[in-house]
Amino acid sequence: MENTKTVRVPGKAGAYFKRNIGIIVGLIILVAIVAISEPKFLTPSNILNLLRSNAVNAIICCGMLLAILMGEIDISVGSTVGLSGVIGAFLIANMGAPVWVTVIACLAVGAAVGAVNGVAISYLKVPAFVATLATQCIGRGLTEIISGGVTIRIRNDAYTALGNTSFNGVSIIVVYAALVLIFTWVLLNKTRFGYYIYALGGNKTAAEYSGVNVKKYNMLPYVLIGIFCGLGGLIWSARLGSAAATLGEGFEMDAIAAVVIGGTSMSGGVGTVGGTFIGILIIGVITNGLNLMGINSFWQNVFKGIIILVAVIIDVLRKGRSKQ
Amino acid sequence: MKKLLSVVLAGAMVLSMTACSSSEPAETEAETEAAAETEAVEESVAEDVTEAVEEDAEAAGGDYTIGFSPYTLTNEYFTAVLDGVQQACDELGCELLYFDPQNDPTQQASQIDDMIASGIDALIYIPYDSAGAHTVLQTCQDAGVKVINIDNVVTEDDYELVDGIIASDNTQLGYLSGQWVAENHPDGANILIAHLQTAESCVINVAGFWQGIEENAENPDAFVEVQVVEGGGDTNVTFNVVSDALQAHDDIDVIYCINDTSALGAVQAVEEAGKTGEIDILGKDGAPIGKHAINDGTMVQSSAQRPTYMGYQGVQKAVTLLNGGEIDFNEAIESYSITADNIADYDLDAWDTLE
Repeated sequence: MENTKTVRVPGKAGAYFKRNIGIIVGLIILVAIVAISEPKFLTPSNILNLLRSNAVNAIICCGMLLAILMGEIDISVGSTVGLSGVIGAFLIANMGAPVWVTVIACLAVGAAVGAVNGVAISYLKVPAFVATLATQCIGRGLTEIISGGVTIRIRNDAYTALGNTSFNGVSIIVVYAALVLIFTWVLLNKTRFGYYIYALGGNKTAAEYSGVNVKKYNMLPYVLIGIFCGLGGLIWSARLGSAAATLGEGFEMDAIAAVVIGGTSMSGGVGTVGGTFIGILIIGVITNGLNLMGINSFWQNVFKGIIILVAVIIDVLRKGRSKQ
Repeated sequence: MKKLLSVVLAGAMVLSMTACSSSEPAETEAETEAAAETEAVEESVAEDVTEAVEEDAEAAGGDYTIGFSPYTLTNEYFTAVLDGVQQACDELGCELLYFDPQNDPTQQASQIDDMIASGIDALIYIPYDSAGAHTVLQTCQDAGVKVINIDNVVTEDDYELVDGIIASDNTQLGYLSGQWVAENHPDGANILIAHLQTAESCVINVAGFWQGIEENAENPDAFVEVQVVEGGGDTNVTFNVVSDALQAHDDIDVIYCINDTSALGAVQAVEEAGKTGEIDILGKDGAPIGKHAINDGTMVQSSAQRPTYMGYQGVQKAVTLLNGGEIDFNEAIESYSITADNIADYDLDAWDTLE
């Protein structure tokens, strides 16, 4: 049955609304409910706040999308964010490293974790869930060792500016997120690399027979995911002016949730950056809206969980129908 | 069918993930750590035995082995307790033995069993689950190990099983902050609480905070709780929830955070909202990060916890007991209020001192 799966390479912009109609309607309904019960939701400053709060999640989602498109998963993202953030903070605060060195170090740490994941999964055939579970553990442990359980304070204005600058009220981290989203869109839609990712997720064996270097193209996306996480760690440490060992805990949850809500199939081969973007907004609106309404944060988890479940059920039903 | 299965599997993975992220790494790390520790223990125990034979009757202050069991050692509060414990042990010539329970009460219990087996004379104990400490305490008593319970106090039913208690006064910690607000906002204030609602001590802190306002303000009704947000005691979580709360309410005057770590998130959120200087941010703990923030003027007040002193006192009491002396059974450690006015008196980089 696997062989008959169609590889969906996303088409023109016009098809965007049609393809994502379900979640777009969902998002609009959600926005309407929140806006009616809390008028402050639709103020420009809150919209900017909402975008800013979800910027790092958006960057990580771009990585998670790549993994899930290949029919795999990366649960090490949160710990990689923590590891690179803490290493960045350590270098700049405790070692007095220059800003550019720290920036490169953060991204390099992410890339290194990603490379370990990629090699383990692609070349050594370790299931993605297990491989990234292992690196998650290792990363979190190293984060705690390096930070020594202490929150590292950063007092370097040039570094904190990397996360705290804004242009006419638009935070620089929203710009980073936009750039990463655009980059990922181009990668998936306009390059051979992207085409291979869809092909791998659609049918690995078929991709191999048609001459794709499966090992290489299965590994490289993980390096990219790692770099995105490194960027996430860099942004958070710069933005907070500090980094603690707990940084990034649970980030994989929000990322997987947004990607799945965005219509990406957990079995691979199907999913788009555009859909993921809506998924990110849905998660963001739930969190922000409930916070504005003063609803206990524990309920947010309940709502998120229900929405993920509904999204996956819709995915399953849709596939069932298209088979008939 | 295959596809359905794969989706279900994936879902299961996602669900199991949360469990893995918290328990798995803890286990493996603790295991390796425990392995390393055991070696150290064996050495020290061997040493002890020989020394004890040689010096036999000379029991003045030394040659005891003290066990220490906190929640975790990847949290600077508990590492500060450890500093105090270590310092007292060094001064008194005791061997110190400790493991990292990684916030897991079952591990804590088995590690304490291991410590008893290695021959500790007294245990400085911060039970992760104060209501579930009974069996651990009973084991200690049966083995003749003195127990000084610090920080997180066991339930009253178990008082007879411990030899001494030292703890912070959580009400007073909150009270000092409330008092600061009452004194510095004579006309009242709109207050946002960045809470950690799952921790009983924080619930007591917040109650103490309001008590401090009520007893010190001329008109307590002018102090309004605008919202309670769940910051999880964590910097980036608090940052996000406070950012949202600042969107919902533009009349906030004061943010009370249940620890300095979360107060840092509030500071950053207020700064991004362009309200620096308009909102007073109070923390709790007197942690180095909190003191630096008060020194920088980004936070206004923090009520000091004294983890190092607490750990130090714990060992002192244990050794006094072992030498046949008497101690106060229950000691509440008095907090003090750190503000811009007195910040110069404190060492910014240490949690607390032993004076």
